[in-house]
Amino acid sequence: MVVPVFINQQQIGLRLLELPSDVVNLVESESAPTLFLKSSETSTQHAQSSGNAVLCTPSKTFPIRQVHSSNVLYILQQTAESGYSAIAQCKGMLELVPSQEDVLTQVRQQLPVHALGITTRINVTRIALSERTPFSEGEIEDALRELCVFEEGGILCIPSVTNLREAWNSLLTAATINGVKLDQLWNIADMEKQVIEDQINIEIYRAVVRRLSESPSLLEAKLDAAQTTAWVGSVLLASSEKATYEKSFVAQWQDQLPESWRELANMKLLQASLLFGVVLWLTVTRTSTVLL
Amino acid sequence: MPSIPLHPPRVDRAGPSEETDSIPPLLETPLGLALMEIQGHINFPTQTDSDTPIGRLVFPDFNASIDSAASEGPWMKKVYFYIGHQRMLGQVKKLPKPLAVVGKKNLLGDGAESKMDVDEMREELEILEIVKWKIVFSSRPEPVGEGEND
Repeated sequence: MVVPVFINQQQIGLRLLELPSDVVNLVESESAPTLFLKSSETSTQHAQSSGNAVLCTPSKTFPIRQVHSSNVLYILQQTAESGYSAIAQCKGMLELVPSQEDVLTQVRQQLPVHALGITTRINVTRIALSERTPFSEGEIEDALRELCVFEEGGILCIPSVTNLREAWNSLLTAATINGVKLDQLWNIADMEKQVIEDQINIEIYRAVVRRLSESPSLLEAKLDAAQTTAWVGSVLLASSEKATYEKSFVAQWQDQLPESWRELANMKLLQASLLFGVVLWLTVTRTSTVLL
Repeated sequence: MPSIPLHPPRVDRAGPSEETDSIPPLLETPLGLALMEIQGHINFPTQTDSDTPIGRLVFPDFNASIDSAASEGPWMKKVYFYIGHQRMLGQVKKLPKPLAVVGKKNLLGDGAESKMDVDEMREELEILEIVKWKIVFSSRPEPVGEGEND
């Protein structure tokens, strides 16, 4: 078999991008999504990779690295006359490498913490956040949910630990009054009366419910008892004004839980923040939000 | 900075060639793209218009009746690339990871002629094709006599 090879005088600009198998499967699937190339302005610590460009699928992020080669790769295209014509040449390719960055940190660094209406950071809208954060939409959404980020006048904001504590207290009160078991399906709107009465920011309440709910529904929620207990403990820990002995902390914690969950409050759930049995309160945890 | 869309390969993409038996089926892709890796560089005359012939690829062990399906086989071990009176010995290799050929949107294929609107000027990229094989020539060219061929 003989294939004549030509070189096209008008070389075109093409790049070669090496794809991991899961990305290949994604782009070759019938309903292949559009991918996005983003670049990060904030991160400098991994600047040795080519710029700071990343490739985002709907749910994953891959930093891009430029790899040079001493060999030349010609991109050939079959011609109408059953030959090959070299239409482009590349002296290297782009590789995708596993991400080293942490989306939570990046989102947190960009958003103001809601406290007494004073914000020290530049206002960021949801669209601007996507453009400025070199991560996939799925990962950004997860981070927003994890941090209970809420919108106020189109601006994104992270609740302070006090905000979170108040929202949780209000939800707990509402559940007690209405005889609702939080670990069984309950109607989100039904509890909002109490929240409004308590003068809790409704958006923060909803963000907390989204964070804790097992289901993505906006109408009904069901909380996982163990996970919610851990979250309540970490919020309590982050909002503690001073070092406390373990015993009194656990007692406080239990008081913040539905009656049937009291036994779940266990310091093991909060291990990462503990030292010598005394609860340590870290300034960093307080100024950002709950760190665990 | 705003993000740049990278569109997946178009399902209906097709290249200029309609011949299906002109290259080993294993190397065929919808757009007819293939990769050829060469140690060094091909110098070619910087001349005017269209395509300049530079040589020919020969798959001496490829037998259409045996290797007709898109299958791997011993034929991949030997590929010649003749340029003038020299030839290089190479082989067809599977890429460690598939390579996406990325270019500006609508660069190749059917949509190539469509003119860009002003508001389409912002950069959009497209995976034109995903290539899984390459033809590699890693040895130096050797001279061949006049009659010695194919």
